[in-house]
Amino acid sequence: MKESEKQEIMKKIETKVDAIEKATSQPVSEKKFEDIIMQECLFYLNYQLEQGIIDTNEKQRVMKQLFQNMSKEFTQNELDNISPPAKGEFLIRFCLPKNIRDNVLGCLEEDYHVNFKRVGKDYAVILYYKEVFLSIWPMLYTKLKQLGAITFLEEFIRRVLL
Amino acid sequence: MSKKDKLGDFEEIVLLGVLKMRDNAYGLSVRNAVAEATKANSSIGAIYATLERLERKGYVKSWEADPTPERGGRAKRYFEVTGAGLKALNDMREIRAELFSDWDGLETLGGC
Repeated sequence: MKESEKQEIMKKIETKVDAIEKATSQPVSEKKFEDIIMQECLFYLNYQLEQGIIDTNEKQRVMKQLFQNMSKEFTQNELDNISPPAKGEFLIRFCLPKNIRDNVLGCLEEDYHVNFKRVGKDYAVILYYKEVFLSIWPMLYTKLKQLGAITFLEEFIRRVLL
Repeated sequence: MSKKDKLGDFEEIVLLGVLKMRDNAYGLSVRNAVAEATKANSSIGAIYATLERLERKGYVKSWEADPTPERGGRAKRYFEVTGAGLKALNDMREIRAELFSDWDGLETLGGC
């Protein structure tokens, strides 16, 4: 990481802490402070990932390092599941049109984090995949229909059954 | 209102969802507002596809905010109902009001 990038992240963290302290008239807790640091670092790593500067393994490695240096409240399990399942993301990228793809992925990831905190990892993953399939199904159906696959299958089943 | 610009049922619901969320109208919040009102789950993909269609018709406008970490570094796309959108909603309300004007009579007849 470049020195200028480090300084930029530190500046963002300071601005956020100042804003919270001003709004609440209280110093931020250690846990909250760590949350802010994690958020900023995660944002930075995701940006690098999007740009293709680092890969997912590198992101995970850096996040692990960060977690180790922080409070014990962040567990290893939390770290491994900080991002939603990659296969779901692939399906979205594959099936949805370009103009809404990133928006849908962003909302799905936000929803995943909310569910992760609310109901835990396993159920959050199930809900994530449910949402992915609900989102891609209309597009997938239309694409398959365009290709004639659905009509072919319908005809095939009809012929076999009747 | 031409046939092409006519609001579909789901489009109308999504447009009302955007209106309800005011300054915080983006995909997920609109989806939650729609799900709360209709008591049925709508997918985020369907919400965005509808919002995209509404934008093409000129009923909503959108802009992107700063990327946030909880969205994996992706930007939120906020939506706002335009004047044409409000007019379309009003037109739909008038059509419904006109059609519902005999509702009391139907109720006393036991038609529902």
